[in-house]
Amino acid sequence: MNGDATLPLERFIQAVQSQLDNAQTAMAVKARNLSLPLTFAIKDISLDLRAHVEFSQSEIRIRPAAASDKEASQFHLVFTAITRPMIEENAIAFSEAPGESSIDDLKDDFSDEERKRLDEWGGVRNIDRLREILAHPEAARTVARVANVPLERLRQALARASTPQVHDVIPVPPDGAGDDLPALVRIRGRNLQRSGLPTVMVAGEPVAVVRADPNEIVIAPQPHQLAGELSVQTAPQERATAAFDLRPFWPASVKAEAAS
Amino acid sequence: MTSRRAFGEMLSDVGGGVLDALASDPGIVVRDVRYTLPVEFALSRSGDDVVVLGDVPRLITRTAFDLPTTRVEFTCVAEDLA
Repeated sequence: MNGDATLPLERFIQAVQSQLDNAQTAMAVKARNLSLPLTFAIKDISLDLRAHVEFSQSEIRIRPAAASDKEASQFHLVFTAITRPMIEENAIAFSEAPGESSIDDLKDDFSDEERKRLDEWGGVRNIDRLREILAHPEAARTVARVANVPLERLRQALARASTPQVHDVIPVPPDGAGDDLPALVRIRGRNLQRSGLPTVMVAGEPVAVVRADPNEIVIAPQPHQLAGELSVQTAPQERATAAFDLRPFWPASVKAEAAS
Repeated sequence: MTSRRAFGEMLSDVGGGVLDALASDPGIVVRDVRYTLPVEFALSRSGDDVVVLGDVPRLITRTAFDLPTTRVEFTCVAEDLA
């Protein structure tokens, strides 16, 4: 046993929860062994823990008071049993949607400690949440103060993270539905859509957008728009460009139309 | 030196005492039980795992060598095993 061990407060709480689970399981096993139809479940538990508190690396660490510790602090912890629907409700609230950018994607903008403060203290778990917070000046100031990160750095990080990026430009294979349908091109990347459809241009000419989401845009280019500089604009100052040439992959009928 | 039990082990021993009473007399109906106990807490590390040790004081008379006690209140409610 290590009497000097300190533990982050959250790990202490998890360790107590684990002990409560063990107690619950042990009582259920005992009830079964005694052939009883019911067991006893721990519903509420409160403890006034005497402990020493340390604060280091943005963490609250505690150590239960040792013998003759007169100056220990007192923690009043109350645990209560929650139902499965309550667990699921909370899990949904904290889950990240597939493809959602985590706050850890901002490691070039913030140190490990800053990201931890943003996540645990400011509730900024992902970039969408950062965007929501920065849209409200009062909330933005509060998070900047709590996480001890200047507001301007938060804005710059969001601006960098929100910039559209084009990774691939690939033709959509024809589905054989008919030659009169326009050929389609898929643009893959990040932040390709914000509010409303993005503006897509090839060599300065607009291209019809069939559908768009943040990770993919499908366009229907004219035959003469099979190559050139592609630009995707999601907001007045948010634009990504890429050069592409899909002429070798296009159906012969389209190539003939482009040539005529 | 006598080792302290894990907190969960102590809770299940205390809470499970009612189960023994129920098994010995099927006529007893208990809906809930409330406990208030003095508990000595400590942490034990085993590799990366941390176990919360929590046990009732071993002696009635307190000495300077005993850990301070924490007042623990908990309620156990009857629940169908199914």
